[in-house]
Amino acid sequence: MPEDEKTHTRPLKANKEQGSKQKKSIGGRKPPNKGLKQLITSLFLGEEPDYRPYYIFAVTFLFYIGIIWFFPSYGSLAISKLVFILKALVWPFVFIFVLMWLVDFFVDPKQLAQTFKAMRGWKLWILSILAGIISTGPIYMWYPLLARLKDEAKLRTGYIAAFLYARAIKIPLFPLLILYFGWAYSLALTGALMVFAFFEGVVIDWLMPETEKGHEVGA
Amino acid sequence: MKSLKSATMSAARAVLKPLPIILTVVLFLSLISALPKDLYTKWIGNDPLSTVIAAVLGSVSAGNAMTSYILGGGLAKNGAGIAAITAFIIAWITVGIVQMPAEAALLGKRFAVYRNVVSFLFAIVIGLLFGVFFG
Repeated sequence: MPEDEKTHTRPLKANKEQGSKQKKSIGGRKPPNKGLKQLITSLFLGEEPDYRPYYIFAVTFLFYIGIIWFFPSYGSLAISKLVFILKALVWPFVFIFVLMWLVDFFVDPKQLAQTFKAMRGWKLWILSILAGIISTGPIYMWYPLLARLKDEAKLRTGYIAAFLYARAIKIPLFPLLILYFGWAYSLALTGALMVFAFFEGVVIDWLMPETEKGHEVGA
Repeated sequence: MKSLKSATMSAARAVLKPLPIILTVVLFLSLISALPKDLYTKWIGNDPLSTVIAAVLGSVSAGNAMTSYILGGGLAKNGAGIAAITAFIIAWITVGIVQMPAEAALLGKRFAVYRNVVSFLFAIVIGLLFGVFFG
């Protein structure tokens, strides 16, 4: 290629690249594929992607497959239990999502922290224990919401521990407990669990270092 | 108050991000739930050591609280002491060895360990107290 042609083509290419960049940035919009990928990454991995939970899940899944392969009768029973657990998870999952959405939409974490601060002491202990008693669904479904209350609303870990302990009181299962163990035992067990939920909170508060307590509330 | 889109994204992220940990826990839960139930009656009797064994078995077990009541009823029929049965039921509901990875990932390792250890000890304490009052 003659030298003069070369010098002409370079600015043309550069102009083309610049033009395509301009096209991409029209209205500040990103191409749809990249946007979707970013959305999925942000939803499943968060702001700073961490793949470790996925590796752990993959290893556990392979272990599970191994169990099914080597112990087929036990494996088939485990699969039926897995299906049962997954079906039972759907509604708590939706419930927790709605609850978190409501908290996100209507509640300002700083305001919530102020409310907790105003309620600190016995009122917050009672609220934590009552919330634990009436909460439904598997315990692990509550961890994300509790983690946000701890991180954003600075709720002390003692109250979280009391909430989790009070979940042992199952009002809907109370008739079954009476059926197996009688009135006196069932009432005593419920009372003991309520009292020990408070003790658990106090002990956890005492054990946890100040830096991990969510110390702004109830301090 | 956040915008509708921002609140939806934030809530979805908070629920979806821990999904692999929760699914890992669910896989382990299904394996433990499928274990034979006569395992418990073999180990739990009517002596003080049974209270500790019952608390250990309750801690490593997982599943609905209803199952622990039914198993507790079965243990009572097999002659297990009230202290052991109480420790077993309480440990079943309050200690979560299987759920611990999820609890540690979201609420902190130290919190998860302390909470489970304290719950385990409380299960034995309440069990022994019930043994005194109801035994």
